[in-house]
Amino acid sequence: MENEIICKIIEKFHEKILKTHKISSETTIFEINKEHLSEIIDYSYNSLNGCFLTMTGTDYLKINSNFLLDYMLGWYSNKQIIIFRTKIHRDEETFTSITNIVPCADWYEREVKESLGLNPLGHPNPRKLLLSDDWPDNIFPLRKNYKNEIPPLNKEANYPFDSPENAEIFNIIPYGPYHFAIHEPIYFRFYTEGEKISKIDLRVGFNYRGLEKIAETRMTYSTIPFLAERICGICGSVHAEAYTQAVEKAASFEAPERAKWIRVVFLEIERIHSHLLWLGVASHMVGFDSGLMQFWRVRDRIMFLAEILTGNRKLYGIIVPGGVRRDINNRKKEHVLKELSEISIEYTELTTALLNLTTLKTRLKGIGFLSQGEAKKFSVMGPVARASNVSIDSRRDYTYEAYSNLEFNLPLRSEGDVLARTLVRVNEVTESLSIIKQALEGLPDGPVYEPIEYIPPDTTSVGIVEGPRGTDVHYIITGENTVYRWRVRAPTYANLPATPIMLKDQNLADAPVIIGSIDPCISCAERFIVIDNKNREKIYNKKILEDKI
Amino acid sequence: MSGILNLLKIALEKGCVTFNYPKEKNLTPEGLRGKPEIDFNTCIGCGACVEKCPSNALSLEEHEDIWKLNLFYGRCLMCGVCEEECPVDAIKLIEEYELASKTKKDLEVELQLIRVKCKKCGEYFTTKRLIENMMKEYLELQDSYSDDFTNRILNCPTCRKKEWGEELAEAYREARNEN
Amino acid sequence: MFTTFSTIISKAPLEEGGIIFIELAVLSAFIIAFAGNVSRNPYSLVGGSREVILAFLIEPAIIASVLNMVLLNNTLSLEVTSGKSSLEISWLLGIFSYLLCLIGECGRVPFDFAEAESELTGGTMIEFSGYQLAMMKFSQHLKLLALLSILNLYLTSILPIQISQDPLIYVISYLSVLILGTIFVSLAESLNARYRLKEASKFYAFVFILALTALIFTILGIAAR
Repeated sequence: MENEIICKIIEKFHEKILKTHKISSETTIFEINKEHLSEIIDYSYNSLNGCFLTMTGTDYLKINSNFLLDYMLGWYSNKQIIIFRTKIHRDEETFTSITNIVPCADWYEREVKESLGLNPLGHPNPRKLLLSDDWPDNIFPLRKNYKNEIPPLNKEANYPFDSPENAEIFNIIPYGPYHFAIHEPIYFRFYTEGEKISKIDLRVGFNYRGLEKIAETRMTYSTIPFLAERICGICGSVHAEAYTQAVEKAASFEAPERAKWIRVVFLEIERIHSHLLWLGVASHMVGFDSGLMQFWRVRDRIMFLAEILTGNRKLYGIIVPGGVRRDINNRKKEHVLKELSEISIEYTELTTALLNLTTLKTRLKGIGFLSQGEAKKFSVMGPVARASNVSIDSRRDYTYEAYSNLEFNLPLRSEGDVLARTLVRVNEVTESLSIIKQALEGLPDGPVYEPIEYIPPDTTSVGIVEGPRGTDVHYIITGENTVYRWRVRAPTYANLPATPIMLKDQNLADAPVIIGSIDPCISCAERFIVIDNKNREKIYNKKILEDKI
Repeated sequence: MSGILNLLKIALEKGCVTFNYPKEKNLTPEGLRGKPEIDFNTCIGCGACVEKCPSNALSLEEHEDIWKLNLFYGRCLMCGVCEEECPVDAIKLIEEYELASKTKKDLEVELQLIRVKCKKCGEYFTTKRLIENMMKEYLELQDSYSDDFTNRILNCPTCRKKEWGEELAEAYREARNEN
Repeated sequence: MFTTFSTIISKAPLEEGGIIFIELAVLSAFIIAFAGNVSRNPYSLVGGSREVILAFLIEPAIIASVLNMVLLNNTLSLEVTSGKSSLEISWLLGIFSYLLCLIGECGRVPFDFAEAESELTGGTMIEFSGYQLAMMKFSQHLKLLALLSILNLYLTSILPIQISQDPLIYVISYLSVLILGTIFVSLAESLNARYRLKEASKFYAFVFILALTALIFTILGIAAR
């Protein structure tokens, strides 16, 4: 009757679990005391092989004068998600860090520390993550009593970078925040010996836009999807879909059947164009611009299909709570099916040609290795995990929309290098093409939109979508007329902390493509605006520049 | 080596796929969600679009005798919610996407709607077009205007409430007197 | 116009024209390396060191193939020559290895790691802007031109393009060598991904063997005569 994982946890910790309640078919909330938190999560994550999905801090002060900390763990093979919820009293403001036992909780805890002012005790790396250096120490943007009237301090602060013991023998190479290969602001600091990268430090937070705060304070349920899809320029509708799912689950609302199938079409179109974009960018990163041109040529046909179906190249503004905003008529359907068969021929031709290219293959093979164990340890998502032989896919495991009616394979590779990630993506595109075909052919009749009548407040719900880059988790606590708390966990947020492992002892020349191999989407991972964060470093400070001039 | 030859073959076969852009302009498919355009002649100034616009590109400014409906393309998402919400189909997304401009002014559209005065208190309230639209819609349901309708259509909401309140009070008093 | 062009070509670089061309061509590698070292920019530092390593890698192969050419033509002057007029294996190998050296020497794609836009954001080039950058870029293209002019020497031994003949024919054939050579380099550039230094060293070791084989064949041919 109950899920195996739940049984095991309850069996072991039955007196420590205060309350359990099921919020959807696959999600259960366990309320626990904060003293037992690390023990229970240690067991669930390390012994039961859970996957760390997200961790959310919520300011629940108005309602019951507590902070909520929700640790969300998923078991893909058991089709189970468990939220471990613990309450922190407003006077305490501390909790025990679990980063030592769950390494991927690092960023989440730092984010909670900055945004809510809850201090993770025993955190091995308590540096700033998302906010700018000159952000005041005692102001926490995600608390409900935060007032947006504090001017930036404009003081200079030095970010404490991790440096190796004998730092002087290394050459420091900065990668970012503005770099050709990584088109978004992220800062890698490489300590190199010759061309070999010996130590890596990573800094993010150049792009914090505070979207969650905007949504919680200024927007309504029906307008948030338009904000959610602007989290990312590539996988926009994945975010809209994840948000939509969360809202629909909170309202116990089932979207019309036809809308579910149409959503699958849109999501798969997005996956194809995102993967083709990545293949192009990866080619560019290894200096192969013809590959970029060719992949993007095929991609543009897909974009044009999106434009025909939704009126927008980027599938923006199409998936909303309640259904979809445009129907697919027969004429469009025929056109898309015809176009898809042409595209799939063209695509196969292109990939076989390009993947036989010796120079391209040598550049991708055997670099950026991530073993299966490490992939599980860091809970990496999507193609990165599947290239390390971790079989996770929320389309298959936490089935949503019409995916249960469709047949598709999950490309898996066991090599764990950049070439494996490339091949996984290449094969996923082929699968997606077939999914779109099936979905269009099996499109049921009916309406595409039904308004949601009522969304009960104070309901926790989770939307899980397999985006092109991995599992996208949207966590919401509903409020009056709008979300009380909205937490977005984009896949890059999970994948990025694993890049230092992939980069260790690699060649400097391979750095861009290794970083690129997780398909990083920094805006996704950060969702935050830093005002003016000058990178004052020894290497490149303003004075040196002025002296030079 | 076969890869190189195949790639060369593909590249030569496909050739140039880009459009000769400024000269060839038919790049958009039918149904593109481009720039929203307001039909100045039909807009009644009801403000439904303003209410629903997710990015606040549309705003309604109140002045003494006019309402100004502002549309700023710089904030527009081209989502088309306004098109769906408009009761008179005055706002439409057209297949125009070239919005680049050197000045911010070019991206602003302003529509002025004349307000009407309340028959009773003399204050300006809603727009003239809204009243006209109401009258038109009324005729679609009924054959002719009732006296009640013609008497009250030009009363502002405050006066109308007052009037109804007075009527209710009257009716209540009468009922009590009868008892 | 054609005549003036040909006279400039023939007169200018004296008797040892080819050597001067090669010197000029190699010089720019060191300019890039020095420029990389004087700036404190880590990217250009890496770019500069990569450029020097690349220069060292190509050196043996290019020396072997130029030597081969000298032996085939008996001279290095551009105004020549008493070449043989038969298509030989050494000639073919020599020209092929020389063309392969050309790609690396000009810093074109499989071997453009000194510049490597997506890795080092341009290497040494990011230190320059305006006319300085233009000169850097221009020198790279001139290098290709200079090295292709030497290739012309190779062809004198098989094609009727001596300067002593009709200048029009000479100019046409000279230009066609330039164009064909540029097409070859560009094709190699657009159909390949960038190599790493490791692969480049392997590649140029192979090219060196190729050039050496050609040289041995040439020497054997001369000895047999």
